[in-house]
Amino acid sequence: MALVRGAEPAAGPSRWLPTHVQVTVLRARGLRGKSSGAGSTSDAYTVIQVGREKYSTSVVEKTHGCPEWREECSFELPPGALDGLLRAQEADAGPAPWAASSAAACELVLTTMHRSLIGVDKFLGQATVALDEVFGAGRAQHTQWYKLHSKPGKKEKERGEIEVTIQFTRNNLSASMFDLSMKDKPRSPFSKIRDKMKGKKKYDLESASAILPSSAIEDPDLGSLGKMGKAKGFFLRNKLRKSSLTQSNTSLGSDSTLSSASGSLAYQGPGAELLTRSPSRSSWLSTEGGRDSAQSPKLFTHKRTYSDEANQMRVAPPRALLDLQGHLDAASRSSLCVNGSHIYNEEPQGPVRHRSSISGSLPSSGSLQAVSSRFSEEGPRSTDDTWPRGSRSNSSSEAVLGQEELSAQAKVLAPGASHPGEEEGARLPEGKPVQVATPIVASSEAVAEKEGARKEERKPRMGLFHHHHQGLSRSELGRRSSLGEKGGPILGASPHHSSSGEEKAKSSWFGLREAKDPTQKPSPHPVKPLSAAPVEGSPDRKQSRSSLSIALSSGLEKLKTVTSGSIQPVTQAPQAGQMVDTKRLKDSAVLDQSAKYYHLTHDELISLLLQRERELSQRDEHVQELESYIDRLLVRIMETSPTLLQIPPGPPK
Amino acid sequence: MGNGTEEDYNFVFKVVLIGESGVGKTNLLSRFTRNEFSHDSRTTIGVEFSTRTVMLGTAAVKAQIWDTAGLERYRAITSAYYRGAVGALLVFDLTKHQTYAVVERWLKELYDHAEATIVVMLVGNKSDLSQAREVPTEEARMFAENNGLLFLETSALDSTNVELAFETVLKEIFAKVSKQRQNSIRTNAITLGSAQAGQEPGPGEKRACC
Repeated sequence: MALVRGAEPAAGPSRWLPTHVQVTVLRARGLRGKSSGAGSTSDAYTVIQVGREKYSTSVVEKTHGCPEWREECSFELPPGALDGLLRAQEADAGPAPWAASSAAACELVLTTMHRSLIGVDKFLGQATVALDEVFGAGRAQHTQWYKLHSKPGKKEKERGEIEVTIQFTRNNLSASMFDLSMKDKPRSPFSKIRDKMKGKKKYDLESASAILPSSAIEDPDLGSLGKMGKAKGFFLRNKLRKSSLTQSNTSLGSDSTLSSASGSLAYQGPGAELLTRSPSRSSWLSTEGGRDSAQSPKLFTHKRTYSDEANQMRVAPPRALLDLQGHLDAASRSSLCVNGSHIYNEEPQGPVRHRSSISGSLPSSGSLQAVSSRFSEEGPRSTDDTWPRGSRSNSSSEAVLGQEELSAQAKVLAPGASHPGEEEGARLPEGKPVQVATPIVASSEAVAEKEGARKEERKPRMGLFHHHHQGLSRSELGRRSSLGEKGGPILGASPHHSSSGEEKAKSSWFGLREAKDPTQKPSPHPVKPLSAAPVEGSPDRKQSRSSLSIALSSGLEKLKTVTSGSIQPVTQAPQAGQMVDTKRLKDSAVLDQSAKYYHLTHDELISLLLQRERELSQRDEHVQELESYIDRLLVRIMETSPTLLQIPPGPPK
Repeated sequence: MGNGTEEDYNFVFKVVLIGESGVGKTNLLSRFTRNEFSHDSRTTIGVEFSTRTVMLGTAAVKAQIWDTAGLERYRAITSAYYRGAVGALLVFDLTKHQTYAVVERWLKELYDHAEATIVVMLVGNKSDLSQAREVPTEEARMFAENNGLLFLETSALDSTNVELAFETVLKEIFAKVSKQRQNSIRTNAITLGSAQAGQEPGPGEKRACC
């Protein structure tokens, strides 16, 4: 304490102000059983809320009233709470008459719920902790059991208690490691852009519009717009439930919005209109997206801030794209590709233009190109669709990544290197070869070329998902997946996110799903850049998809590198033409490995971890089966011809 | 005690190596049968054996030493592994007390599956790591005496007592066999293939059923 106080003379000794509060939900006991069926178990999770921020623990299944979570989250203390804490502190020194009034502003609300597979989750109990009181008791870590109560106004009954550790912290220490790292590297470079962007940002509107387009885009690619509505709706629900998804979505949305705002403000308006106008699908999406965006910020502050940064970074590329359109920004080009696709989609320009711009500037645009063509065909819808297309392609690629991370990376790299000629050719016809210069773009283009193949592939995939989405056509499924993955395309890291997001969306009903779906499993994990890239040059659709996502990520990476050379030393090495790009891609892929986790929320990380654990346990089981099989074989050998087991007299070493 | 040729032996004694994972069973085996030591710390998978023929007096005794992973879990091979064994080296790592603490469990498993007359030696391996010793020699020796076990401390790394340990066990087995068989020193071979299935209990009592 003394040191801290000394460090902050201005605040005075009693003025140590925590900026965050870290809440660790350890466990509960004496919970009521809610599951029908065996015993009185419950699938318990706890929602942790401070102010408008909420986190949720994972679900401990079939607990007999005493789940153990040991999950922590950190809340930025709302301004009101801060005052309360301050007063509480002052109260320590002397009486503070106004302390009580502000107390309500900083309550920690712990709501333990039972996850119902069907219907609404059931309330198990709620505990409210006055943070100022806790803080008043000292800055040390407080671990305490809190009694769970019934909902206010309802009959009180024995609901058990919950053990929580509360720790007040200052600055961003409580934030994730990534935050810190981000500050050092990517942030600084992009901060400027960010600021600029922010000036133009219109968060709510933009994010909403952005979200909508992405979802819509997917459909156009597939060609079944009508289906889109369903798919979107599906995803949206999922999103609503899973905050993490919403986050990624929002981030995307914000990016797109940013880009759109900066690049084509005029377009946004129309685009939004179009979306709303367009049949239920678009409207759905728009509304949903709006919700998500609105919600997401509240839910995860830290991460959100972090994600914001990412978004900003992402945003930067779009901006760059815009610039590129007008003027070529060497630095921004690469970045442009990633966001660029979105941007372009958003832009109100005629469909034809979109194509060219997309193909030229945006890596992700590969898919976009195809989209753009459709765009023109579709006419008015095209505007709406374009977004979805871009997103869709990205998402699909992401999904692919999930399944084949390694291959995807490899493929991505491969396309960049192998198809340069093709890409160029494609570009030329499109008429916007100039901006295409970035390798990422080329890869994306290659991807676009392969889109036809992809579509075919998608169908099979969709088949995988069919379980989840009954009755939906394959294309719809694909769209859905793309929707879920919207976030992916923007950032290198984001693709992973998005993929995970997808999984979650699919599995959102129950966290379990993720683990079960083989296809989904891989997606959460970041792309494995090194190993896969060189090995697999096959022109699989999956690869192409992955390449798209990779390209996106790489584009982001490039942006980072461009803006801040410090981030990726490897990329710095100057190489000519596409070679450079491919290398960058690889590097970016490496970076992506960690980057993928940047944007993951606490919940997402936990679910990822749980998924891994499930996979591991499955693997263990498999190993055990193999072992027992080997043992049985050994027994047979030992009983019939044991000499086979004799260690062959090898040459003396 | 010279090495006899592979074909020229009067007895085959099956000896099993047991003990916790990582105590050095495999290296004891390779040291004794091939005079090799591997710093590769991979755990043993599966089951294998190695042989070495030693002369005990006038008799050539082929030691068939079996080695497997020192896993706690039950394995289907357990009973087959112990079947027909007339000697056992129960190995622990004298630098890891935990491996000594579970010796009793291994003894139980041994007696559950092997003949009661099996010759058992408690082996404290890794005596070269004296500075890291966690199991006092006397403690282990006392335990061995109380349980009717032979006892030695060995080092597969520097070969200390490795030969002695195996030969002591083989001698003990041989003595038991000789005692039981009295004057019959003809080729009593505990051959793996044929003898194993129909082996009778008791060390050295098994004749090759040629």
